[in-house]
Amino acid sequence: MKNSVVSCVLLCLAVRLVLVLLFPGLGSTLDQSVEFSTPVTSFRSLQEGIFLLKHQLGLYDGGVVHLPPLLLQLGCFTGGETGLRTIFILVDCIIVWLLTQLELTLNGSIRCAWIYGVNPLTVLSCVSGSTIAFTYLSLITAIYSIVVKRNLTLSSSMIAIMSYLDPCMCVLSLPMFNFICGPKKLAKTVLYMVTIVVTGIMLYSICPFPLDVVYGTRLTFASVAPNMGLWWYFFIEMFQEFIPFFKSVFNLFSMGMVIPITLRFHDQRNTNPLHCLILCIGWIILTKPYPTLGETGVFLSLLPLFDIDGISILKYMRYPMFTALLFLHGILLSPIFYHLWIDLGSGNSNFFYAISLVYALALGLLITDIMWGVIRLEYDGGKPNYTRKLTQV
Amino acid sequence: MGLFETVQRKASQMGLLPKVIRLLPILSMITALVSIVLIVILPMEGQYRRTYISENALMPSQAYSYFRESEWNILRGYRTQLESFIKFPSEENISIESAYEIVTSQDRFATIKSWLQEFGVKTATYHNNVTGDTLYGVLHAPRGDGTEAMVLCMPWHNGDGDFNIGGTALGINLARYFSRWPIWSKNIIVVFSENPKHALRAWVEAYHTSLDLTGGSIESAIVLDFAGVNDFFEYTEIYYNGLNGELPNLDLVNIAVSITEHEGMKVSLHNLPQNELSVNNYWSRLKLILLGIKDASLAGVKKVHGNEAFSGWRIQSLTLKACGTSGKIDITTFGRIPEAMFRSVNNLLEKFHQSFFFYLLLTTRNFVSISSYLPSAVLLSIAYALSSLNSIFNTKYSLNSYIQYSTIAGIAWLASLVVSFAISHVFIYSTTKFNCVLLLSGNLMVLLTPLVTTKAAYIKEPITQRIRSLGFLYFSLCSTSLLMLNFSFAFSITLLAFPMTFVKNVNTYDKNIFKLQLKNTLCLLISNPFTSVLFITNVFENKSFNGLDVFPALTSAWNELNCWTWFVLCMCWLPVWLLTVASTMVTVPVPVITNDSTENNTKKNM
Repeated sequence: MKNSVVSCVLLCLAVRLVLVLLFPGLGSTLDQSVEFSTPVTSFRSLQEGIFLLKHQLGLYDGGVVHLPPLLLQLGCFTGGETGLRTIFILVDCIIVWLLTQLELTLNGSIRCAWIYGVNPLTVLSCVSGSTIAFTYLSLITAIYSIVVKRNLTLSSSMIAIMSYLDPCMCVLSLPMFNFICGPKKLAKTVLYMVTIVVTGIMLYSICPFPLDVVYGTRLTFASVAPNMGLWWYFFIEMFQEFIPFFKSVFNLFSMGMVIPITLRFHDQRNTNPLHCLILCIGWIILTKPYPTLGETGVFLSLLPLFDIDGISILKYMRYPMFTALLFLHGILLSPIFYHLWIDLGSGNSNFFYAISLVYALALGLLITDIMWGVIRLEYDGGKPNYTRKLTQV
Repeated sequence: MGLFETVQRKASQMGLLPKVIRLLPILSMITALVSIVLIVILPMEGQYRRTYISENALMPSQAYSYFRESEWNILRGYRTQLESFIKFPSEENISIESAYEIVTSQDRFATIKSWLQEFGVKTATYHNNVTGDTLYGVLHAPRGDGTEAMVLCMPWHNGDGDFNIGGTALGINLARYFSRWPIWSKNIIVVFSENPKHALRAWVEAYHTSLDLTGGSIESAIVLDFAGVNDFFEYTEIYYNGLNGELPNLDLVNIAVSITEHEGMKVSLHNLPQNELSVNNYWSRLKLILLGIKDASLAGVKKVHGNEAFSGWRIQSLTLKACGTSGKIDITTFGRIPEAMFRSVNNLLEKFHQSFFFYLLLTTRNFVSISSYLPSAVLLSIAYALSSLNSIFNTKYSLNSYIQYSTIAGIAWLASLVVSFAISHVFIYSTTKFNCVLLLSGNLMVLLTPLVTTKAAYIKEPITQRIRSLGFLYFSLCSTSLLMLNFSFAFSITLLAFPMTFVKNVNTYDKNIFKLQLKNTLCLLISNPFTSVLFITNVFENKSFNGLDVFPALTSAWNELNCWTWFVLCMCWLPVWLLTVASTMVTVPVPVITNDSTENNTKKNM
């Protein structure tokens, strides 16, 4: 097993290095694409922020940088673009290693890590230098520390770091409650909450920043730019006076739905808390204001975790073929439709929005299909019975 | 979801799914047939629409055109001067095809430049050692802020390689005539390139990247093509197909057609001969639709007329060509088309956006929009997906087991992509006749391999099935991606490649191996990308292509015009063909893994 872990991490490293070295222009091309880069996560804004910080200029005055200052401080230590790209590749390698450890504990195989290592979406996201890498590093570390190390404090501080980097993800702290079990449950819960809050306040107080520029932009979708998500089209079409209302509705929809999912799957005897967490991750990726394909890549890489202890929830899925084809078409056609709209001018924004809806449909179908599998397993009492036919009422 | 559930329940009660899955090969064929039917019914009454000017500002032919006989003498003067730059072989033979040039392009440009400067056109020369220099001039708009421009383009040689004397003289005369009008709110750019192909393309690219003298963003471009020194012609031909499936906004084509017909000329599209111009019945409309599909598929590869050079820069462009040498219509009438078009475009306050960018023309005044014809290409793409599913489901080897064979298929797919990529790039560097022969014979050898090795080599059955399903899925994805960019090309290649899906597995235990193999080989022979392109061009486009001419044309279209037809052939079609050939090798069955849960699950997935 040791060998395969090493080879998996090496493969992840090799794929990314080869791409970066063979195609030096690929990174900036991907950073310009709407699929892998958003105004709040792009490599350009990271570089801009580091430049402003190094020259002690007003970091958030220009309205270009929306990244939290500690991330930029970290970036300052690296030497230029080469250093930053190296960091991104290393972060991905660490994620792969964490995934191997996570899976070895649960399952004895390392499929997640393999998928993460070679998945074109995660690979291209890494090459594009999207800062989601750091968000997902903290998320995976949080999962790793609670599942493998059983370390609640570390896990909760990682959740705090994740929320610090991307406030849209902060609701993922809710499904983490499901992991808390055993004696002294109340004390642990309090400890968990206190750690998150304290870490969050500490992170903020080390280096304070204007909340509206950094978090406000993300939460209120201040920079309306096309992306793979569901938000942008509504807000370019909508009358000015309705925008604040619908922004709150959209946020409520995105974050609020995590609560029922968490509550429904909170019982550990029936459902693995990890499954509930992954479903919530999928939901957030589907509905957040600035999603990228890289995040979907992470979500897809986590799917083998539904296949642990010889119990396969994925086999309950009813239309995986259909979903896969939708995904393929959505992802392949989105750059083409964007090209028709922006470069050639023969298409328009409806084209791109239509294809991002196809993509969202695929993601939504995948989530509901897996959720169906989880509920089916619960119905079957933990012993899978794939032959039994059931339909929803 | 309620309706969906009901339908699903009904379907599973009737056992519909297994039946459908068994019928997948037939379903795939039916889907392809339906897609052809969808195209064929388009020319029927009620299926198509009449064109209309969608942008109200255009108002074609609403203003009186003053470019009339009074300008004729000036035009003749310019033309006589231009005539002195070329020489005919003898006094009697003044056919433009046999003329040759007697002054250098610098001298010609110097003369034209002096004329242009006389009436206040700012001129500059774009130097290019490869394609030849291009002279262009900007006439600044008396009104407006000068951020937008209209281009009038006169290549010295037209698409046929003849001297465009009439067009050039007309262009200069029009520039002189335009310079006296105070109405222009967009700059007017006149361009004199050596040819309508790479010289013009290079100028357009330079205009957007490196030139110093520019006149703002180009809204529309009109290429004038009036070869010869005659005063009269018979009818006007309009070319509108751009590169890589691009079309000008239908409004531009509409105003061109409406103005031309308003001036009393007949309009021909897609090289329709003069005697067919007034015919309007089902067959003539079907013919024009098919010609349109052919011309759009081969745009850039076949004869280039000049409007193609503007593709990819958000410029609406078309070429006006005066056809015939006798006839009653004089050259100033031809000049009134660009005049009225310029006045129409001049009225625009926004970029062209009102009308359709995706359309097929059935006559000059009838069209179908994308929603009518796109389903047929989508269905063809679905037909491939169904064939792919057929190879996945109609087999004893379920997808969940036999991971090793799926991996082998994946590697084969990657290998076919690498091979195709290598072939495409070798040809970009050199397309000699020898290379083309080598390519075709290489393809033939690959094709014959399964037939020859019938008795010698076997591969495992699940591998061939996986290879085929992956290949067809890839092709389906490719054609879906292509069909919005270039409907005609996507439709043509998916249709031409369709015999691939008739290929069947050949097992060692089959009774008549040789007959099966022969059938497979025949299917693959007609669906090979190179043989079918060769066949199509030599049968339907034999005026432009003889024998192997199409291959150098394909690669030079990329090198000179950035037209990616060659790469689509190599990167979409060729890999699938290679994979399908590989899948016709004689197969041996492998033991079937019986896994109840897996089996059931597969059924459920479906």
